[in-house]
Amino acid sequence: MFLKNIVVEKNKEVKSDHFIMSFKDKEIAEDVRKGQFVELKINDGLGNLLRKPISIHDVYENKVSLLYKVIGKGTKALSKYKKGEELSILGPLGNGFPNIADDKEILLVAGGIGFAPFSLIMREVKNWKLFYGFRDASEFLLEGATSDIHYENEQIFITTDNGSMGTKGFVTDKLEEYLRENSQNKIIFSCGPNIMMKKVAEIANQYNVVSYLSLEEYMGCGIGVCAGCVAKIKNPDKPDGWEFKKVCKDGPVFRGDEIIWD
Amino acid sequence: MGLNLKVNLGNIELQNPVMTASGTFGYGDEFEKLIDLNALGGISIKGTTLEERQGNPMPRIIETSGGMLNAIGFQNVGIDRFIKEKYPYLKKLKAKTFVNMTANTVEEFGVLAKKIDELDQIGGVEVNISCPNIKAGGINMGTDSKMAASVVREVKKNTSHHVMVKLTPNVTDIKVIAKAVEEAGADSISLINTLVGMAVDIKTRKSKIANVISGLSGPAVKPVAVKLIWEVVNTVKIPVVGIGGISTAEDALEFLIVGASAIQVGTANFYNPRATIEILEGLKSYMKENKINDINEVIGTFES
Repeated sequence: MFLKNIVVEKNKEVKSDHFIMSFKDKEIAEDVRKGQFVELKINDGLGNLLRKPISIHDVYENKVSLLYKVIGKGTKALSKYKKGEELSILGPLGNGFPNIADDKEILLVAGGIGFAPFSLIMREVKNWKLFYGFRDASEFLLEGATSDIHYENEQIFITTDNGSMGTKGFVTDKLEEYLRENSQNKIIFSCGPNIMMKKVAEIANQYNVVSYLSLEEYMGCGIGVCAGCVAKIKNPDKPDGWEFKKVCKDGPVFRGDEIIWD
Repeated sequence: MGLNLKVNLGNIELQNPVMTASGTFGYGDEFEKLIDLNALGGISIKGTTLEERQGNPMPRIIETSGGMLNAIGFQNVGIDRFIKEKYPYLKKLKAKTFVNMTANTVEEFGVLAKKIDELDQIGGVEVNISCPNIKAGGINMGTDSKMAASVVREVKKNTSHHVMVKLTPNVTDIKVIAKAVEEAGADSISLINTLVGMAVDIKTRKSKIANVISGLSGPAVKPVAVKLIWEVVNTVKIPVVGIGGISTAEDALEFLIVGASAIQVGTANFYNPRATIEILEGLKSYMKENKINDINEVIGTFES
């Protein structure tokens, strides 16, 4: 974990409302694990007092890139940063996805901007398939975001809400179809809306596949001291059989069969 | 020429007046990679209760203009796990540990104080009296001078440590509460705790915080804090520790000038984990620029 100022090298809109920000930093690049995030201090007056958590999208040599969607005042202000401007960064933070032996196939299940952490995995891991669902073809981030990652078309399954790309429907249906064929030696990594990940956890359970889900939560500090971002996680040692774990520090990645969805 | 930053809180000496506020600094170790913890004057730990607590449902925090609202609900490991798992790390630091504690009955405060009394290497206890008394219809003990005083007496009865009492600003007259806790034996007073507030989601028309009522902190509350601290300083003889929106050395100096003997940095730790160290450096620069050798020459020099 580092706390330092980085110089923005690129901050470009790659698809409508979706931006990639990149910067060079050797220490952070070497420290990053798959599925971690950073906390950025956006200086635009008192409106964005707290740092904003953003997923680490990719690391290539000493270059770190962040992929984000403009959804609120924080990401909107972030999108205004220009090349050469400085930004205080805290990270990398969180536990990230676990390392998986090569003989297992990793099924990456992404919903919309939940695709963000998977680029690094697709670069570093050989044996993967991507199940990628989004609303409309204009939100497809694989091309705009990670053009230099090599993959075969058979590795990718796309669904859209309106059928403008891939199959019309839910990405979780594609995942289930795939597991119905063969669920041996598979592991699931997922990131996206809770409603999607809840379904991913159900499917994983049904086919007896271990799943790791990256939760998104509003955060206050990113290092586990404010206790503002918690999730209900099973723990048989606690009186109620669960405990509130900190998404920023104990997560953001938790095992799908340990998350209690309210 | 060496600068003196040492300050006294009654019988306790801090190596400098910069402390961290409870609930914003965990148990210190979370910051060990980010700052030199030994440089701090004191660390007030996450509010600790007798039993481990899970805290409130989500959402628990929301940003506001110049601040934030929180209703965490004292999620903490409980006093026994604190002593076993957290205290061994804290006791080795030069920064003095203040064990912030809270309870829902007067008796429970006493039980906690007795457990904390066993710890020989702490600066003191910080008593958070801003919590409902479940044996008295849920009245907030920090808003009732009699109840506040009885909590302080119970804590003093059970520990020989320095007893710092943290006051809520959500009262009609803070002077009445300050006087009551002083008379009950408090060794120092810290204030302000958060200002109660609410935030509404205009789409759903529901609260943005699950608990509905939450506490406002951050730069937005600073002027309110400075005023209340000034009032308390003019009311009691015991030392006062200033808290409320402090994020820079200039902020800290305002509190010292109106008479706070030390300050606590809270919400700023979230967005600037180095805030405490920067404040400390800023205080030294201010002293050099103004040819002040001793920080105590700044404390209580407000000209009214």
